[in-house]
Amino acid sequence: MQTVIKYRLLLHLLFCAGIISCTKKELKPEPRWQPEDFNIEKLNRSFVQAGEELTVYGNNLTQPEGKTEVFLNGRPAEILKAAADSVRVLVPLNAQTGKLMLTISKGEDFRTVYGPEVEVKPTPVIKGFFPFYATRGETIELYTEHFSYDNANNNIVLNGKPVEIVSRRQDTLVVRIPANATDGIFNWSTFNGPLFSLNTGFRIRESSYPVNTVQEWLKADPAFSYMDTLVRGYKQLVPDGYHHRVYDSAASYLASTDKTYTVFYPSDNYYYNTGMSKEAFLNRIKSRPYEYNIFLVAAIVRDHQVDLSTVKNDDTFTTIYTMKMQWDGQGTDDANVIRIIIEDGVKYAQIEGLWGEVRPRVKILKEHKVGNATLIELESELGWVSF
Amino acid sequence: MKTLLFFLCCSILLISSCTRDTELEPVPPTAYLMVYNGAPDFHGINAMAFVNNKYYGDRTYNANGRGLIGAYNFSDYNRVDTGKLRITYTDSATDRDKATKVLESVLDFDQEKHYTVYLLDSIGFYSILYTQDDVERSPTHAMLRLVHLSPDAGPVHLRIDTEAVPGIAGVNFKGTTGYVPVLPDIKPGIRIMYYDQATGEEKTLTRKSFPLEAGKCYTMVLRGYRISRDDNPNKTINLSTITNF
Repeated sequence: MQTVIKYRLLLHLLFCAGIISCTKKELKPEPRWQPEDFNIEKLNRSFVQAGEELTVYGNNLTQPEGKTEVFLNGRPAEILKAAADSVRVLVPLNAQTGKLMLTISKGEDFRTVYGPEVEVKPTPVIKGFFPFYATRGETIELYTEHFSYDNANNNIVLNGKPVEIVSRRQDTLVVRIPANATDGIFNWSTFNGPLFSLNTGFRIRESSYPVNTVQEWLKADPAFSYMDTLVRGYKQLVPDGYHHRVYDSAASYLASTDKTYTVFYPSDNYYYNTGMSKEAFLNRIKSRPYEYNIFLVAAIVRDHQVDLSTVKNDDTFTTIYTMKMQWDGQGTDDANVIRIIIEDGVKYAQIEGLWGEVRPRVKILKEHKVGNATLIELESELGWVSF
Repeated sequence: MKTLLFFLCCSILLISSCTRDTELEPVPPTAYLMVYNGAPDFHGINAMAFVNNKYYGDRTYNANGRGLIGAYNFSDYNRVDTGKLRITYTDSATDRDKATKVLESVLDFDQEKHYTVYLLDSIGFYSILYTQDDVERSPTHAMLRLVHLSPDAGPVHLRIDTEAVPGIAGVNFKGTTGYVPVLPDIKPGIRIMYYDQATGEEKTLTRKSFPLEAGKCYTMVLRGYRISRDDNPNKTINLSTITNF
């Protein structure tokens, strides 16, 4: 009897379990996270540049659980400050014109709204300039990209001093070095955008240096860094004493405070224009020492301080480069001469040998008075004529 | 005893019938995604792709998930949700949590459709392009299309050996064409052509050879720079082909 009761009890339990288990299971998907409604009302500006700030105004732009992200034509923009009614972002590099997109997300769930199109002005670039030095008031060329065609939108400064844009040839800007300029770097901006800078420094040439010798002038004037290297470095570059005799003759003039003479040397622009680096120049001196010591002496006029304002066409000046100097005391005192050629108001210097042989004439750029000496700046090397 | 048997039968029926009413979770709608990196900046380094902030895979330049794409490679589609998805490419960081997004786009994906998303690069200016890849196959022809990811190549057109292919002409950077049926061939010369701006002369930009099989669908990807900024030959102009189906 008891066994029957137990079975009945068991069956009742089984019955009840069956009924309970029959509850229909409804598999509902997990409710996905949804941010509150949000929208973009406006932007604080319609065009930007990389590096500038842009503010997005709207509602619910930040939400407690959600992460707010801003993209400019897909490019993520760093958020500088975020609040429910505004988000301030930094316009990223290499962003492109396109719609602004703001996304609020949590994990894989997100919602995106789009704002108006933002025009991204290209980042202005100064790729380089030439020459690398100038006196105040002179003009130089800046090689640029993405500057505005309206100069009012362009701002260029040299070591903090505003630079005037004189003219423009496509992406080449001709600018005037300000009267109060000092050595430094160029900075620029366009459309009041962020300030950019160029690592290459620009050197200011003074109209005069407080020096007593040409050698000191070559060291002080940034336009003669190649000649300065040659004059001061020759003996280190050329340890063979055989070549020092000719070099010493030149050095005795260049370092002299009492000799009267004139020197015709090229400025650095010649080497920049021909693409000769300082390193290549040094290597040439080392490999051709006999050329570079003669180069120095053949450009020195003895006993005469040439004045460009009074020279006349066909004036000739005797250099210190003589046959005796070349042949170590042998031969005569015949020397190379420098002839002045004036054509259409432009002055040239030309080296001439004993028998009338000449090298190509070279344009004269400037003169600098240094005590009893005159340093004449040439467009290229004068050369010499061998004996 | 009859009562016992009655209860026993009812219990068995109840318990066994219960499973019938349970509703199985429905299969979620699915689209198919292939992710390609066409940005030469990523030559030799990986960008990461994310879908809705979830890691999808690493992609170096010219990879689609099956390694680097040569003249003739297969597709690599993976299931993704449908609807609007965030597609993101990151920088070359190796730590997923520390990777920085370089570009993101919200794209639409339809059920049972196949898509390819491409990262493009024009000297550091990235863009995302995506194509819907499905096409009705032809038993007698190969289906061929072009995706132009070469920033400085200008407009291009296609010749197979000497024959111009109508429908693949005047394609510019970021441009894609529809599939065009072409005759199958064992080893045709696939020539991407352009017109020299100075002379107007038609010239070959790049040439590849790969078999075109009837019933298959191909996407040619014109990639790289005509003039590479860093003289890296791996970033110069080239043609890759993905066999989509």
